[in-house]
Amino acid sequence: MELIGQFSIYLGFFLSVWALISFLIGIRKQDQRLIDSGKGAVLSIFILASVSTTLLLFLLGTSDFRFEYVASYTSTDLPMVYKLVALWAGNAGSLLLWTFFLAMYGAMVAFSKKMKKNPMTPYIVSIMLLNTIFFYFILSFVSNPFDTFPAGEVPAEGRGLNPMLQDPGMILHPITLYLGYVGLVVPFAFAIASLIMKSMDAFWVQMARRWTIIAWAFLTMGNVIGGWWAYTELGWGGYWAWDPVENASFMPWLTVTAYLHSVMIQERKNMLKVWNLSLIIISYLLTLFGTFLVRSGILTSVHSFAQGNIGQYFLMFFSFMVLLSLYILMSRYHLLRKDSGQFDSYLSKESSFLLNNIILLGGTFAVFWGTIFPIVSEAIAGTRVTVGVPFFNTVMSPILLALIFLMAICPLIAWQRASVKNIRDNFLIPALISLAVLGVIAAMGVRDAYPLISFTVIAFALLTHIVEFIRGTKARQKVTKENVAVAFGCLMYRSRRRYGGYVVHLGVILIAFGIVGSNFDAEQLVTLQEGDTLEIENYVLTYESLDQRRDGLNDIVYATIAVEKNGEDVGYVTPERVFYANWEEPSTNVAVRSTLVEDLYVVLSGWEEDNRATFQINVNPLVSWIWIGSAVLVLGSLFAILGGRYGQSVPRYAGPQRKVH
Amino acid sequence: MIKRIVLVLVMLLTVGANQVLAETYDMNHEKVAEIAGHLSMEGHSEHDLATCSTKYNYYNEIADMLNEGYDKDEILGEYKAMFGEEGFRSPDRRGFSLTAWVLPFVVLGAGSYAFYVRLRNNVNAQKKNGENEPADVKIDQDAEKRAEDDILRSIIEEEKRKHF
Repeated sequence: MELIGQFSIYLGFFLSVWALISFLIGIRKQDQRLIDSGKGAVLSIFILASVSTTLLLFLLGTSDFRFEYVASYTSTDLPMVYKLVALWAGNAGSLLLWTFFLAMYGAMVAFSKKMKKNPMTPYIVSIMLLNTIFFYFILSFVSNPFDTFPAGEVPAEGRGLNPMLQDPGMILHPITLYLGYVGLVVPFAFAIASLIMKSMDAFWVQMARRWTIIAWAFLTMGNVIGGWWAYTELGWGGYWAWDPVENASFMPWLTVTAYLHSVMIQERKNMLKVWNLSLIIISYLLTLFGTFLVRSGILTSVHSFAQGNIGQYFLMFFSFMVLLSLYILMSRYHLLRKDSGQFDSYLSKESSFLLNNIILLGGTFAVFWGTIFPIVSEAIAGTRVTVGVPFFNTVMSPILLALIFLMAICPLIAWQRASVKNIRDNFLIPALISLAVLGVIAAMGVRDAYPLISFTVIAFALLTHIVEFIRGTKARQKVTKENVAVAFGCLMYRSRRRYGGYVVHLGVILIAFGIVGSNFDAEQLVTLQEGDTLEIENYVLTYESLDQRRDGLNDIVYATIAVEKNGEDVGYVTPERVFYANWEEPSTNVAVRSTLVEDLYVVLSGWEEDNRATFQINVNPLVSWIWIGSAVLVLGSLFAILGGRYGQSVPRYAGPQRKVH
Repeated sequence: MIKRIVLVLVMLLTVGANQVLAETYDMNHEKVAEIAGHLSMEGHSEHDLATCSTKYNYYNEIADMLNEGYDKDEILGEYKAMFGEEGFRSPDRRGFSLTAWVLPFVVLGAGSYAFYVRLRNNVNAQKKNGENEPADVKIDQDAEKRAEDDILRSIIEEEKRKHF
């Protein structure tokens, strides 16, 4: 087993190097045989990465403690599903998963039908191979998941998996996040390949579009599932704690969001070529930077992955890719500036898109600056300050609010040049209704400026999008004479890209609604006797009993609390504390009773011998809308790239011709 | 003598009334949470109050200080004296730490200004070019239902792509 594992890693490294060399020489000599050899190697790398990953899963599943990685992250009593997810619980395993995804994306691009006869393919795959080589290097020489204990030192039992990680979130969060992170290599490779080939049109943008949206959707899912996990898993601070590692995955999300908007301007008006290339390069570099943050341990984070000197290697690779990208971009700058379109007026869809980009990048910078500020401050002022939630909330709230406001305007504003009449016709009714919403919220007793403005802007954004759907349906009805339902359905399906984008916007609006609402939470920490009641908001909770049960080797202490809402019985909640046989620290299972209006969130904090128990009880308004909005957002993005006849068509390559492909 | 008794009674009543009127704080009080929200609590600020004893102690300490008559600024001042800037969850708004707060908005401002300059240059250049444009083109650019036409155009484009 050890031999197969080690062999698959080393051979993977060797083949990655071979594939890159054969591509480079093949491109230089325009030799199709070498290119085909490289492609064969890419397929072999994918097969080898699959073998390594499957083998490690098998070793984890069978608790083969001869392997250091298996002994470090599993134990015999661990449920099978968590034995398997231990694949990405540690450094070496997660790097193997990363390499597997990288190899998978590489093979998908190299053997994609749409890439057939495309002279960009060898260039794109070469760029991706640079990453594969780096990851295989780390796996081979720095953090090998198949390292074994010396003979005679094999432990009889493994250390087990941190109970915090024994959660359904652990199954989905890392996988989706990695698919997003690694997926951004693909559009980056397309961008760099187009620069190297001096193919300055929007071909690469069109070809990379699906890849980018897929990566973005996975990144979104990864972040949201992480938030949901944090919300239900105690000690991680609500659903978003602005932890450096959370920030690391949020930053590329922001820049890719900016890119997805600005490429529309390039496709339509041949503008912003340098800007778009820069955005996709920055997005990719931010994924490397994020990985460096996670693996180096230079910042305190709840996601501890730091091990040995691995951060140095990531820093070196990051620096190399920064220099390479900058060099290639600058060397083609003069070509990119040629034939570039211009803005026609101050007020147009393209100018509003670019403003949206600036705000998104401003937000990215704010997150980046806040994340690294402790290090900067220590280096310059000698004080390692904490940059936590209050800072990010203060700085990011106006930025994100401005973004939602722009999101409200962008869909309804005309391309090229918007007239005052256009603006008045499109925005007057939504603006008036939003002001009415403001009045209603104020009448409900909300006096703080921030939620008042936020809810008004959110209502405005929602209304402008509804108006856009109505206008689109009407416009289609005019042409096709279809009834409303058919016109609406066809409008959506035929213009999937456009309306998928609007559905994504609706998702963002719902998320914003949830986030603003959740700030009106109520919290109590109380100690109750059995039979005692507690009132919080419109709930009455009766603490009925404290009991204990056994789950495998673990002991679970749980409280039963009857819940009344507005005088009506609505059932029970049972917050728990779990005591593990193989882990010192107990963990807490929160009881969440979730509705569209609010979440009742109960934590069992502690108890006495006489069964008095201490509970933390929160009523968190509108949190469900964050998860609903996220689902809408992901569905919208998938809808936007849905196949169909048009989806199968391939843009025509018009760049420099090559003999090899 | 009567005057003295009345004076003592008045004083006792005043003190008593103050005692009754003074708000008592416990760890569930909003003000406690608000003050605690500023503190890093030795890295425990992101932990859950229910399960973190450090955070629990901080909350109780703040409630006690409020009950002793300290106000928010005084309490934060106490922590500042004890731990300095590192005791807080966000950087100071003075000295080098001020850059943490200001720089994002400076960058955003600079970006917006650069965007405005580019827009202005483009628009001015377009205006110069447009001086020779026929009048009907200008009228068309201000057409009433431009956005609706835009949707129509995109529908037609999609249909064309589908059929041809």
